[in-house]
Amino acid sequence: MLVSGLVAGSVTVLAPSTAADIGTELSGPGVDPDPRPTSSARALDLLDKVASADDLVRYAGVQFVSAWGPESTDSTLVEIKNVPGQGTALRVRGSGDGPASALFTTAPGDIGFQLGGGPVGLLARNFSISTAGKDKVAGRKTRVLEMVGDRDAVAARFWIDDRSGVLLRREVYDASGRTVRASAFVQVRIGPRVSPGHLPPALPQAQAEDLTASEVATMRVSGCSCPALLADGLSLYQVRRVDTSAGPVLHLSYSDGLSTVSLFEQPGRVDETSMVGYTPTADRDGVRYVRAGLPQQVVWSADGVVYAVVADAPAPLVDEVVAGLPHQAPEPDGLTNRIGRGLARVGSWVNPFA
Amino acid sequence: MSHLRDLIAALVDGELSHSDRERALAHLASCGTCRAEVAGHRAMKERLAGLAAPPAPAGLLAELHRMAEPGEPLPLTRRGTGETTRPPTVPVGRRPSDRGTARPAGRSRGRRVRNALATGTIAVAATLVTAFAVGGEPGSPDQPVAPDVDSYVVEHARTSRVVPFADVPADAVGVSFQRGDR
Repeated sequence: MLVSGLVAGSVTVLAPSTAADIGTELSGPGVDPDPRPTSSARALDLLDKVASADDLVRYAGVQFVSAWGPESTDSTLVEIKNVPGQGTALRVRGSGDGPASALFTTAPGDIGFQLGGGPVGLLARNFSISTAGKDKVAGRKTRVLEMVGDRDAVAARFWIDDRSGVLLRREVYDASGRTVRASAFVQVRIGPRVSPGHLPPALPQAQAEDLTASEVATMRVSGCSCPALLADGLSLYQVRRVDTSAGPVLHLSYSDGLSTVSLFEQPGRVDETSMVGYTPTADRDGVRYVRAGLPQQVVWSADGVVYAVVADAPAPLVDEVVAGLPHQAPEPDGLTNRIGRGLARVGSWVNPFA
Repeated sequence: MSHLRDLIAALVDGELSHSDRERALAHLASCGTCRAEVAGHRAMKERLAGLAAPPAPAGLLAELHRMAEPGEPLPLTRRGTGETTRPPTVPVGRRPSDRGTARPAGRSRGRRVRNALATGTIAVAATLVTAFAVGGEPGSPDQPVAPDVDSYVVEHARTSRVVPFADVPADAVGVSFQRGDR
């Protein structure tokens, strides 16, 4: 089946032996991604074509990207250049310095991630996919794909170049049908005439390594939650260990095929003086530091672990993800509580196993 | 807002109220001087936290064990010499009061009780003071971490291919989507 080709491609990200154990059955040779029976064969063929386009088609252009949040809308222009066999370079135009504006390159062979929503196999598993007519984007003829979720609501539409299979426009909707993410080429050149032959150098990568299934299992035993599912719909598809300026961090990636959520965990507690630019939000679950935009970021600590959620997802889904993770209620202050805390800490010095 | 000055220690120790903390953080966003002072305070606090506790004197544990054993009073130790002298023993069948230097038994017992009470009170007070000092900061005693969220955003983009962006000037783009219901 054509879609199984997409899944075989995603093995490059997740070792086959890892996939089932960490939570998703996406990867592995011969594993059927189990697309929804309500999807049309013609639509799945088209999805297969768009997922393999980056490895076959050279293209370059400028994309307009918008993200609607609960309080604001963010928009920008992104320059995109794809060279088969080398990868895809993306550069945000018009923003200031810093990593958010830097160019980065995806590796060639990451088939299945071209649609900006995580592995394509998850898309086929979680949504009914059908064709929905024809349209034009940036002067080119396209065919439209429609993704329908559990509530029979259209969750996303893709506009796919008729001739090459390049994804030219993408819109994602929330449960009420309002657009929450949209991207579309405003200029695009497709084909062998696109130059140059080489991509510019990518942003320096952090040291990172994928974890094996046994390492993930060990971490779960030693107290890491590593949940296989977030918000009852986002599947864990990758676990990495990343070295950052603040030490090694566990990076867990989740997706339903349209929305992506990264969960980062490291020991310690949040140093609030470092969270400049974030909005602190306090309730009975403690203090969380929030930054809206694309992607949305939420940082907090609980029980000796610093959690950070980085998400490209509708705000209600991000709230649901955050609410489902561990939190620690703030300790009441006062003389009795202070002395009680102190006695407990002194006790833990004498007997750390108590 | 003028410089944080005296508030910096309380901010680093997490002792400010929610509203004061928000004001202080807002000030830090625009004041390099105070940010440098906060960084200095935090570094000093981390260095102090990393200092090792002074080692216990050699033989302390053995002495404590001996104190707990029943029997004669401990020998007195002359500081610095290591010599010990045993207290004068009382021959069997002879009352302590028979010795010219011995104090009356009732008075000695009362003093011991008072000493024990005083020692106990001091121990309890010392424990409470220690607990008060140690329990000062609500929340986890774990090491404070400044999470490298900028790297997180880049790693998220790398693994999901969602281009991160923020703070784009409104006039940086000349086209727009018509947002509407599907």
